[in-house]
Amino acid sequence: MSKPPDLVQGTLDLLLLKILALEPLHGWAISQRLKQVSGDELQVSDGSLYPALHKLELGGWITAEWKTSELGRRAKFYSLTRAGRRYLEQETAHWHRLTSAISRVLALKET
Amino acid sequence: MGRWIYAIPARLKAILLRQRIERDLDDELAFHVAMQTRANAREGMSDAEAYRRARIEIDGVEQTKERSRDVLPLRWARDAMQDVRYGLRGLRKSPRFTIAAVLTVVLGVGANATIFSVLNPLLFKPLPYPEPERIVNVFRTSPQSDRWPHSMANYLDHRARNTVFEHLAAINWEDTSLAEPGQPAERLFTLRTTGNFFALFGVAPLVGRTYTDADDQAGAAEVAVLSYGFWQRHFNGDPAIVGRPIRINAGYTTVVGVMPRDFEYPLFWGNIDIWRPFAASAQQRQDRGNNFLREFARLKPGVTLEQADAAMKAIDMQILAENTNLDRRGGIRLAELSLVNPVMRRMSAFAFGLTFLVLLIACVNLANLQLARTAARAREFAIRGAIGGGKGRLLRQSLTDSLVLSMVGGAIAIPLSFWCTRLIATRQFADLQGVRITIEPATLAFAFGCAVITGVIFGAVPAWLASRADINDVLKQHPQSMTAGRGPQRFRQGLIVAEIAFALIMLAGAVSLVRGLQRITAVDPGWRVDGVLAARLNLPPVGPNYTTPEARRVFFQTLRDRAAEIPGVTHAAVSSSSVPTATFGTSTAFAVEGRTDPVLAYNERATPEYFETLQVPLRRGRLFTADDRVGRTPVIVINEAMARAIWPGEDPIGKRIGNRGPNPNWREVVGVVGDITFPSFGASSSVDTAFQAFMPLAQTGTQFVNILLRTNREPDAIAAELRRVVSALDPDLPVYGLVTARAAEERQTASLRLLGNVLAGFSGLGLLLAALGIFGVVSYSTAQRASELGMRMALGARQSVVLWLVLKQGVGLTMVGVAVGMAGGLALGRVLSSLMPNLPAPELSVVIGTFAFMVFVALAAFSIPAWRASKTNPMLVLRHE
Repeated sequence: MSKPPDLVQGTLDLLLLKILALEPLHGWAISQRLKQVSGDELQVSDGSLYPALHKLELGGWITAEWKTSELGRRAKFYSLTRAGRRYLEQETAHWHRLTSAISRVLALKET
Repeated sequence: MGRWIYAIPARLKAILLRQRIERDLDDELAFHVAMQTRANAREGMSDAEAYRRARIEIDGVEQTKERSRDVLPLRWARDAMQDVRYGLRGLRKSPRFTIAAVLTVVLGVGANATIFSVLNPLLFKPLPYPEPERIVNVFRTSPQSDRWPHSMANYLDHRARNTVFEHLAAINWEDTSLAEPGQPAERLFTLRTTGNFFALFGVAPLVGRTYTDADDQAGAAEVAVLSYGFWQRHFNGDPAIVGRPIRINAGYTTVVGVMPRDFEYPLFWGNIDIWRPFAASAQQRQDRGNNFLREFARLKPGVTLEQADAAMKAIDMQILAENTNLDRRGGIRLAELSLVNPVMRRMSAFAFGLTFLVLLIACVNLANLQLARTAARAREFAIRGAIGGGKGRLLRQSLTDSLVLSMVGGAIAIPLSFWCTRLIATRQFADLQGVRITIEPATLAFAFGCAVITGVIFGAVPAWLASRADINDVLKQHPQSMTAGRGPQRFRQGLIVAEIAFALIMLAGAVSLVRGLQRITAVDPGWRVDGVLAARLNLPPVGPNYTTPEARRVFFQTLRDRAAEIPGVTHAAVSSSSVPTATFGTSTAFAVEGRTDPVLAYNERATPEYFETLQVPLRRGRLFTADDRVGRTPVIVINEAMARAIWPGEDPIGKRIGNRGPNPNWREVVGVVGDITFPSFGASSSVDTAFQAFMPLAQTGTQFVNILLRTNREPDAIAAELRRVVSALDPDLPVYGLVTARAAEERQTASLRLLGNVLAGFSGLGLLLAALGIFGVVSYSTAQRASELGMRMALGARQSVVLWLVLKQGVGLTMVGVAVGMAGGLALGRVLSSLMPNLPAPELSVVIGTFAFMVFVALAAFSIPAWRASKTNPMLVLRHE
């Protein structure tokens, strides 16, 4: 089986923002949610998850808060900032435009 | 950019709360691993396996942490902080090295920062006018000097005919007396200028207005602009001064404005109290004989100095063609405006360059110290290298160490140099008008730059050498028996040679400059300077004693006679100029009977005792006598240079010199006196012996009155009595400028002497640093050879043999260093003589003495550690082994 392609640059950020747009989550939950939603198609190692989250946090797109998790342990919960929400909308629209353009190109019939 | 607001807390935290961030990272990843372990366990894995898998899935906890840290801002700064902390810890551990190194940095950087702040206003500070590079001097030249003044008529022609200047203004210094009713008379330093003067310099007044061409008309209402200093001193900064009349020279003048403080700053017109327009009369405007104006011009935009120079030379030719009685040997010269004369400027730059050698020597010393320390730390470095410390990282650590050192040194040096600068400014520049030495951001930046450069130079080289050492070699060696590898040893010898060479170059430069200046100022002035006291009076045009020329003459004579009666005064004279330390006050173009071209000469009017008072020797004929009065044959005494030039091979006595124009009023040459010379640093010659003509005051009169006294007593006591004599004659007459001729002469050369002192001080410092450096290196290397030397002594070598063994190397290195230094010194001498062509070279004996001194110092620095090494007890050394 060939290795699934690496995520397109910046796509991981988009996915993380989208997941956090639904509800604030801690790192492990985000990782679970990613696996759940995308199945095996997108393989995001847990190792790349945290640096990506920290980068988004330092960029001001998401913000973090220490709260007690469902198991009674303190965990770092991430949530979207307003800037992050705006950025997500922008990037989503941009993604749609990009993918539909690519689809149109790929839909061309050979003659 | 709303997101930055959200980003601030996380970023601040990342920078300021490092430990908090680390803890958060630990907690977060631990939580993840715990959750994943639970999940894995639920899938049926054993606890250990579940934990292991969780850690694998996160790609290794430590690795992920490191990748997260990479995301954090200012990664390099954190690394640097770590290096700095490590470096400081190392420095604390070796205090002797630290003190030596910091001290060296303090001396090197301090010296350079000090000379920078002293010379900054002279060399680098732009003039405080808009577009100062467009302002130029316009000088008249003659065979005697390249900076003669102009006549009013010539100035007006220059102004009317030129197309290259936006403005062409003229100025002249004048003393006026301020005599407000009910207050003692005060002398004011006055600058008479043309109306466009302020427009040319382009500086706006602080209060009121400046004057313009409209005010500069004969018959216009008299106006004056005050300087900030005078305004503050005399009127307490009262802004209501504008529009007020003040009583100047017994008439009323209206104050129209006050100039800002900085406008007084430039050195070339000195301290000024007020500015007044010339308001020249029609007759003055046609005068080509009285050359008293200095011209300044502002070039039109786009016009170069060369173009303007050519244009002005052409205009000068026209004027000469139209006025056949002008001196044809002269010319016009344009020169850029600078605060100090170009020679002084070049010399300052030279001195500045030399002090960089001090810094260089300091660097060499530090490199040496660092090298010794790196050698001592070779094991530590080798071990760090062996366990995987990258060479780059080690190099960086070494560099950081030296930067930390140089920063510490710099931090001490900066306040120290401020203190030195203040000392120099108050002690040495107190008399120098117009120069304001301040401590500025530029100085700080310069000192900081010096410190950084020092750190980089002395840190990088030894570190690089150490990084080349073979780790295995170092680790295999016993720490005590280790001798330096061939590379570092060569390098250290190179450093010693460099140190000797730099010190010698610096010494040679300083000696050439200082000795040259001494030789210039030691030129025989042609009169005896010691024991002469001078004072000035300013006779107002009206007053009880001075209304008629005859009354003035009587006043001069009475004044002279009374002054001569002061006990301890052997000779007294009244003259139109003060003591001739720089130049005489006035120059005139004279007509010579039987010749068409006029002769430009200083024009001095004095009472007969003038020559005796100054002790100017009579060469031919006679001096003035009391009989040379109005109504008798007008007489003139000239100097030898003038006699030789006008009547070569002829007897000048009986020849006649007069005014140009239809009414020459011939004066008979009755005597020839010795030349009075002035030290000159200009390009034409090292001595300025202009033509000098002297006329009896009784036959001419003067507005400027100077009293010259020769005394065999303490000049200060005489000064008080002179004041009493004058105030008995006229209580309203201020006596000012009381100065001994020696002090006046010293003031002329104050800045040059300052330069000499500073240079001498710094070359001494450089020498000391070099000696200490050699001493340190030799001490270190003999200490390293201690076991070898001890062994030799144990085997029977005598002390003298051991001494020679160490010294032999020193002699060789000294010879190489002196040879290199000599070559550098010769090159430097070449540079110096191109900067200042007429600077006399130092005598051969001085040159040889300098070399000998350098050799002596270097050998002394070698012999002390050598001698100490020869005194060591061999048993101690061997037991140590």
